Amino acid sequence: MVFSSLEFLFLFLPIFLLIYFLIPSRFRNLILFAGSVVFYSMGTLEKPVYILLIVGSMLVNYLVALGMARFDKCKKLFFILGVIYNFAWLFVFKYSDFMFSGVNEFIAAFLPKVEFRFKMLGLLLPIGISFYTFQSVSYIADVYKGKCEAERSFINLGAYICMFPQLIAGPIVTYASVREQLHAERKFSLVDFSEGIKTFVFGLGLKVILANQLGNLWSTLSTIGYESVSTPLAWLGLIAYTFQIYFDFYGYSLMALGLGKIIGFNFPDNFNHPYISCSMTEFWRRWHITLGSWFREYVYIPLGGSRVSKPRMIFNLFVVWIFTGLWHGASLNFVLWGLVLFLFIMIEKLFLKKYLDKYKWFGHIYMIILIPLSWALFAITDFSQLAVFFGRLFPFITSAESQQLVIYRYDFIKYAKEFGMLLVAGVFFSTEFPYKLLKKYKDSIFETVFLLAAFYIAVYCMYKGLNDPFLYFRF
Amino acid sequence: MKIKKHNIFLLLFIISYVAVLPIVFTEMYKNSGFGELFAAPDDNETTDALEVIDGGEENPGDITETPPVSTSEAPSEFPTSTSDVTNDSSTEPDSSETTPEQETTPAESETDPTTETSPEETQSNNFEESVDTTTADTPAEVQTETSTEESSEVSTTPQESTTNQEETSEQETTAEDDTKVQFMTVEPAYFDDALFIGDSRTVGIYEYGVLKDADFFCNVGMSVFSVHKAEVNIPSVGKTTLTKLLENCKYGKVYIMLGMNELGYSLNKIIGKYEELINEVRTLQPDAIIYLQANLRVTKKRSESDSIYNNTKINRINSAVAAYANDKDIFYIDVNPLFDDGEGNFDKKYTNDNTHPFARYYTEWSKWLCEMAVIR
Repeated sequence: MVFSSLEFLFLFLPIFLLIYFLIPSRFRNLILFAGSVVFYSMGTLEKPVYILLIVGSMLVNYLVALGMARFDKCKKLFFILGVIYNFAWLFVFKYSDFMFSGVNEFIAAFLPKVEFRFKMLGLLLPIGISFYTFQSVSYIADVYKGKCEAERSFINLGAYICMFPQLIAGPIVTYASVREQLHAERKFSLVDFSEGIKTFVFGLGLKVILANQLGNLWSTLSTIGYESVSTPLAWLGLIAYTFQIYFDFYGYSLMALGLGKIIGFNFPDNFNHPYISCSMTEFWRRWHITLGSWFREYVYIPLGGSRVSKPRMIFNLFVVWIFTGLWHGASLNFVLWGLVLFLFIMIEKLFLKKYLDKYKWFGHIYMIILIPLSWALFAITDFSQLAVFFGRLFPFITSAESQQLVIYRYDFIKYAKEFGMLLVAGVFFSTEFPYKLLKKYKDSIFETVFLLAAFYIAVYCMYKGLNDPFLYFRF
Repeated sequence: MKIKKHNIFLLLFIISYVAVLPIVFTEMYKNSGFGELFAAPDDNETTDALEVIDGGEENPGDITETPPVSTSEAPSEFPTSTSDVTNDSSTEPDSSETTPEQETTPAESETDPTTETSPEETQSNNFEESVDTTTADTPAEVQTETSTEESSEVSTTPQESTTNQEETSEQETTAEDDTKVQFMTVEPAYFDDALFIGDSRTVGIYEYGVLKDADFFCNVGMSVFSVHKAEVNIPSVGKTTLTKLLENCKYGKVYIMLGMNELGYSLNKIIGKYEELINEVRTLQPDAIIYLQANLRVTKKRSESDSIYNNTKINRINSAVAAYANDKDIFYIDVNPLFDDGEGNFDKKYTNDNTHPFARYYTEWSKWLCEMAVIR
């Protein structure tokens, strides 16, 4: 069940909030826990077993943390076992087939006499496993490092790990940062409630009105077939995808933030206008901030961070970016994507960044070209298709065969007419301007009208059943 | 002061939230069950699906009405709007051409009872006779039955009709070549005076096919229910409705391919409307060859997972459509074998969304149309 569905908005949420605020506040974590399990089960109706997986994960992490607190001598052992447990499931569900097919190809290529082949498991990825695994690991790591105490109550820990606002698409919240709120009374506050609704509605609008519609343009390209797309349309489609992935994810994060606010939590911001960045380095400080800080906190710094020799630092960065790529998906194109990001960040770190920072206009142009291209690597999982698509983006690099292509002459005009306004809105909402405007007119009639309009249009779109391919679901 | 302003927003929000509740709940109730709401328009068939959802919403409501009312209502729409032309053309065929099929069409549109009953009968025939019709034989067989039933002037007694039918089937078994339509290969110039009526797949043929000089009255989401409401921009004519286009231009061939976006409706309703469309084309374009194109199936994956857009339903529509062919001036052509996966599904290697072929295969489709031409 996604936030941008009528069931969630008009059935689950009101019922949950009613119960949540009507019962005494000491039971709120229990209700949050129970509600989140219900929420999760509704998302995994196909595989109800997966509920056991997440509950099992809570139980193990709960016991591991308590074990670390109790038996100081075996602290490290507990920690390592806990980390292995968490990542093992993630590996089995997300990466086993990827690895098996890689090994199979290796055998086929280099050991022709060997008959043996791994059989693909073909498992359905449990919803949110990438997110809750990372949260669980951050919890036991924080307890291990002594950053926070082990949680004594299973209910509280369960509420933290499967808290429904951030369960399926983040933000990745560390236990240390919500511990205080988890233990607090969290009284109903009209101001917070109202603010939370505002944030939620704004996010809903970005997701349903902008991201979903722009997604249609991108999927149209794959329906046509990349080889039959004119160069201008290829760029238009890629730009649409660039906005789709941003507003999809940003919208969802905002909805999570808003929901958190309503029930009394302050989650960290996940995005800070990434598309106005002047460098890739800056971009990744503004994009999916909680994931970036997770990798910095739990991978990059433990490896030595940047306080090491230059080759070692390069290696550390390499590790972080390959894993970042893999986290987004178990496929070679995500590795390539991570690799490309690593290369650009490396180049920037070595010499380019000072020029990019000095000449902002140059930085903007550089990023305006680089961002969509990096998303192309992200979006197209098949390498031969990727090559075809790049051939359309840059027709001059392909040979004479492109002359025979079947292309509709007016395809760009057709789709530019259809999606032009949405793309302009996409540019507008990528800048800081609308957010500054909303802040300036906070609590004014302008804000009220704007948000109510967004709410009505979003509900209308959902009612019409415009399709909703939530991008971050495959993680 | 600040809190008061908050209250205004909250109050208005709650009012609008409650205001949409009834609509939302009826929608959820209609879709019965969680998650199903978004299951229908999957696979990126976005705009098509959008249109379909519209249909789906109206659908249950319309069904509750008594079918005779809706069907008797519907035929009356066209004679009134195109009454002058109907009268003209009803006199014309009598003098110029005296093929029984052409006479039947005006007769049908004038007498309501026959139009009402015919789709149902046609349909029941199809259910019994053919579950999976890929060959041209079955439509021809079905056709003989329906045409005899429809045309009161040709066959008066049921006995005659059965003998007719036996004769034709015998002929088919003994000398197939005589009764089968002789399709020929033609140059794209054949389509200079052709009109295509259809949905997104026809849009694909228009954009990526080789038949650039034909007129295309099509849009994404077109259905037999929307085909008279729609306004389409035809380069040589401008923005026009179908009726106006048919009144003002003369076509040698009219290709119709509809039935996908209708799948949420009952077969009776669809076929009734389909027949109306054929009749209107026949009346307004008495000399045109009418080609009824089978609807392209969907892939196995979609067919198995989709309760509305599956091949069972598509086949049902197609064989019902096939029944309107008479192999004299109305022909049924089926593109499905061109893209078949061997199991009676649209092969997934030709598509990304399980429904629409990649652009380059529309070129092949249009070339196939060149091979399926009839010259009179």
